[in-house]
Amino acid sequence: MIPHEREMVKRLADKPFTLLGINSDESRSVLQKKMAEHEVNWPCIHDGSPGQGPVAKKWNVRGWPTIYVLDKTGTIRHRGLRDKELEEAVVALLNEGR
Amino acid sequence: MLRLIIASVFWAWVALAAAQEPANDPGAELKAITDEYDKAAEAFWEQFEKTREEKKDAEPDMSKHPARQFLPRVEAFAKKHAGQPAAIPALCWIIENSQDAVPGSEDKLPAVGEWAFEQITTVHAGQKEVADALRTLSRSSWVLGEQKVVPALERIESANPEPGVKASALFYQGVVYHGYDPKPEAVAKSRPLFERVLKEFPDSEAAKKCEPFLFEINNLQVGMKAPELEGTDAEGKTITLSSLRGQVVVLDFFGFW
Repeated sequence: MIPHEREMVKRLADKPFTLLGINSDESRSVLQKKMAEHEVNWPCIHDGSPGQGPVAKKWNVRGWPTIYVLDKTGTIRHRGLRDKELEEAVVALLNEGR
Repeated sequence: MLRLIIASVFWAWVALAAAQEPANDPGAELKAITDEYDKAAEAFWEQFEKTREEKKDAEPDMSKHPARQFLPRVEAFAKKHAGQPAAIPALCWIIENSQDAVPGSEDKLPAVGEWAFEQITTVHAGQKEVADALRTLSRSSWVLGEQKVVPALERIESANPEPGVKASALFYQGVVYHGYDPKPEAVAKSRPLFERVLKEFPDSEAAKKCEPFLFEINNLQVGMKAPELEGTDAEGKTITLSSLRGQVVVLDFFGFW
């Protein structure tokens, strides 16, 4: 997952696109350390451990990773895509309404 | 006469004290076995992690997995307490761990797991302690399929006199249909079940658990406007979803574990 995401973020760097991580590691310091270690070049919210994080709880996240794709209007367009399929869906949405 | 009364009271007390000793407490006996198993399983996976550091594409040698030695012990415990509530957690353990214990059962529940499933959903269906098994039953739908698990949960719902168990059995039927990233067909089946829990058992624990599912159903399906989302990043800076409007956004709930 992460190596592909890193490449996708690089490839789409000049596009109106954001990958936003919502992280469920136990502490902010773990998140900082792991982001450096894995060269995570996109913003990540620190939410807290599974069962604790308020965003994940509200969004009923029960498995990790859980992925949503939103279009430019903020509408949910896809759920559960990964890697190549995920990037193809993002590129298609970037090309919408152009 | 008085001496006889004192002696009887004394022996009654001895008998009572013995009955309360941990050695005679089936729950503690099972916990000792499963705690020992948890440690052995953890050690097994730690060892595998070390192997994988040296050889990246290494596969775990499941013939050495501790579930193989522990399964007969847990099975013996379940049979010793057959029909009693004490057997329920042992039967759950068997459902959850028998795939690791029996070779060739990567994608199916082995016969011993099916037996444990049948025991819980028939013999134990009317016992209040079956409440603790419902989550395990719902999770077994990954290998058994919803067509087997939902009717079993329905059986418990109708056989069990406890309102809390009925509510929970309904809730877990909903969870089985809902799955992860549900399609509209799945939501069409899960939504009425969650709504029934709220209507028929509004004060139950299960009713509270239904709420995030109904939030997901009503706000997080494909085609719906994503609700606002706010948090702070690794440096403590606030991030909101609304500040990203106009961009294509991928929300990735993840962990590095």
